[in-house]
Formats: sequence, structure tokens, C-alpha cells
Amino acid sequence: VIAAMAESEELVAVQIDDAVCVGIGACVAAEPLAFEFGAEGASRPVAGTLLPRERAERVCRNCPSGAISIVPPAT
Amino acid sequence: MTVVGDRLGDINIADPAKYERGVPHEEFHLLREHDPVHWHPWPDRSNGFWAITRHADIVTISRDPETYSSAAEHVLIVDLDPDALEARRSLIETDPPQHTRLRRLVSAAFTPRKVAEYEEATRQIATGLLDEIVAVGEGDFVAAVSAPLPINVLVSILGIPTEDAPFMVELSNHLVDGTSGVPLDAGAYGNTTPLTHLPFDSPASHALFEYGRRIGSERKADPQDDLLSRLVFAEFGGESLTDVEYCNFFQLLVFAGNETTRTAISQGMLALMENPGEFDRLAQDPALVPQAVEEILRWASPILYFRRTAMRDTEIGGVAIHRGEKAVMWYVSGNFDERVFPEPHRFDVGRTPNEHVTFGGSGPHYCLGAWLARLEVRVLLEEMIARGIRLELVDAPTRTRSNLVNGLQALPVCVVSAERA
Repeated sequence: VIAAMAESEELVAVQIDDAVCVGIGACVAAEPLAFEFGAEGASRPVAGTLLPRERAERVCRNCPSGAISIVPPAT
Repeated sequence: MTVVGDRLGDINIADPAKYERGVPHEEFHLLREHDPVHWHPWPDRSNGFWAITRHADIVTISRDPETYSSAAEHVLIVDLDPDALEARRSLIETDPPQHTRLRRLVSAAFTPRKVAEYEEATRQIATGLLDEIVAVGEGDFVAAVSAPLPINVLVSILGIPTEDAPFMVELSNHLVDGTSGVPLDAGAYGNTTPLTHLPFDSPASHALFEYGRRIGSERKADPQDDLLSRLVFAEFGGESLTDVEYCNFFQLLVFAGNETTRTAISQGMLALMENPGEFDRLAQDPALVPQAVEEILRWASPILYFRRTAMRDTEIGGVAIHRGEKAVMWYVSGNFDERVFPEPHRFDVGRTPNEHVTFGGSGPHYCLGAWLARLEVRVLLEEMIARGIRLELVDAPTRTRSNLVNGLQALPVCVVSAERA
């Protein structure tokens, strides 16, 4: 699934540090297609979802716990 | 600089009595301008704390729990013996990874999606309370609306019987020095625990512990779909919450769910009455309600500060902080920081952006109830607008004598207009 598609935009994957996330849900509220709540009271990215870089950066910045980051491109 | 220096030396932002006259905004302004990381004697010079007053520094500290611990000492400006600290330790006096584990026990009940499920019940409670004050035509808005709304929402989430909500308010009032106006005897509510071992040094904490234990054992025998049942059945690697963990968790949820949103509602209503033009603007353009909620949260700053303890020698803003020293984040100052909020003393229901630190400066301890607080304030504003309810202040509000909670004891109002919904 691609959360939003604009041909010119770079799409990136996001990850959540499970040791840091406390399940506030700001990411799920902001990007409901890209994040969901797991069973353990934490949030997690929806498998296979990509976000335009700008929105991914915003969701990283707005995570109160600082638990979200952009997956670095494979080298 | 000498004049400013002398004035800085005289500053006292920790005296609870000062807040009875209102937040000492002039002193906070002086500190932000001239000494944003300020050594503040309390109660004397040797035993003081660092007063952190700028928004950016509050955020930096909040995001670095490894350097600035919530667990090493208490989050209030008190020095406790290790056994007292343990006896009083709740979620907000933990660091990761213990914090992460405890927090996730309850986080599912407070996510935006879950909170959306409470909207209908919240609206029913809010409209019921508004109907009553409109029918009477006047009253104390704190007793009539600000206090009962949050606690009635919270008891339904926890699973406490509605008829016990007033008892929860009564006990919570006693926790904050000066909130109740009624000093409690050490033996009140049958307390025999040393006060240093009880949250807020209050026998009301003993009563909350006892109530929590009793209702917890009822849930243990007869589980329900509520937060209390979740707490009593919680397990980590086969271990349940200890009695101390459970009691302090229960106490924290009742206190936080009662005192904080009440203050946001009271201060928000006062701000709207003092700025009737802003209420007009909101009534004409209800699309502004979400921004108005954030502005009320900024303006109200219900929790004035929380404290951290430095785990190593460090520095902030070029000022050396030594291991073991207290760093006190004055959220109420961060929320009026001119570097972040243009014209901070203007109450602006359309303020955007509004990166207030009312829920903390982010980091792991970001307020668990943030979405719930927003829901309650939003629903109340929506219902007041929908019914054309306008209030006027009939007497000066009474402020709470506390350096922790920016509360109002009483907000005497009369209803100047209201339509039937």
C-alpha cells in the first residue's frame, strides 16, 4: 500500500523503535494508513506502507517519544 | 545589570502562596530574558534547583531521560528518603525501560482512536452539566462543570461506580496543598502510614490506596471490560503489578484525570470571559474550536512544573548542571516564551502554530491523557457554542494556593444567554 502517491515525490519507509514507543498514537492520528496500534500498547508501521519523505519527516518530528525514524536506504 | 541581578536574586517562583495572586509572569519573563537556567534557592541556597524557563530547554530536557531522570529522585521539588521514594513511586517517577513497560499497560485506553469512543459519553455528561447551570442561571463554574466533567469521564474509563465520583474529587482535592482549603489531620481517613510514604504527603493518598485495593479485589473476582481490570490482571513475565505499583498507579490516574483537565476548563472559561471578543470569534467560526482548545491548553498550563534530576555532569544553555542537581521545567513559562509564541499574553483562539508544552516537552512522559483532555475541552466548547451559552464573571475567581497546579478554587459566573439546544 502506498499511503499517498505523487509521482514526483520520493517515498520512504518508516520504523518505530519498540523500546522507545509508549503508544501515544500521534502517528496513528496523523497517518492512519501508515501506522496502527499493536497488541502490546505500542504503535507500529503498517507493513509495506511508504510515505512521501516530507510527511515521513513530519511524523518523525511530531512523535512525542522520538520513536519513529525513516528506514535508511539499503546499501 | 546590577539592578537586574538584584531582582533575579529576589525571585521566588516556588512559593505556593504567590500563586494565589496568579502566575508570577513578570518573574518568569525576567528569568527567560536574563537567566533562563537560574539557580533558585529552595528552601535555602544549598538545597535549591535549576529553574528552566525557556521552551527550547524544556524540550531538550524532556527528550533526554538518560541525562535527566524521573526515577532517581521525585518529580516534585522534594527530597525523599529512598524508602519513601519507593513507597510513592508511580508511572511518572520511572525511567525507561520500567516506564515503557508500565505505560504500555494503560496506553491502549488513551489512544486517539480509543478516546474517540468516549466522545458520546463525554458529550452526554457535558450537556447534562450545562443544562443544570443554565437552569439555575448562575453558580460556581468549577463545582458545576469543571470538576464533575473530567472525573465522570475518568471513572467510566477506569470502571469506578459513578456514585463514587464525588469521593474521588474530594480525595484528589486534598492531594494538592491548598486545593481543598481543608488541612487534613495525619490520621484522616484512618491513616496510620507515615506521611512521607504517601504521595503528596497526604492521608488522602492512603484513602485512595484503600479504595483502589478494595475495588481492585472486586475486579480480580469479577473482571470487567475496564481499565481497573486491566491493571489487576497485568503481567510482566508472569509477575503482576506489586501492591505499591498498583496503588500508586491508581492514585496517579485519579489525580491526573481529576485535577488537570478541571484546571484547563476553569482557566479556559475565565480566559473566554475576560476576552469576550475571542468568544464571539469562536461562536461565529466554530471551525476554530480545535485551535481554541490548544490555546486554552497553553493559556491554562494546568501543571506548572515537573522536575528531573541530573544523572551526570552536563550543561544546558552553557550553564553547568552537576550530577544529582534538580532541573525544574516550568511549563507555564515555556508556554509564554516570546521566542516561540508571538505576543504570548494575547489569548488568541486562532493561534497557529501552537507548540505548547502543557502535556510536557515531549519525551516518554508526554501526557497519557492528552487526547482525552483535548476531547473534553472541545466537546464543552462545541456544546456551549451550539446552545449559545454565554457566561459572565460575577466575582473575582479564587486561585489555588499551589506551586504545582494552576487551579481555580471557584469561578463565580452567571449565564447571560442560552438557547435551547
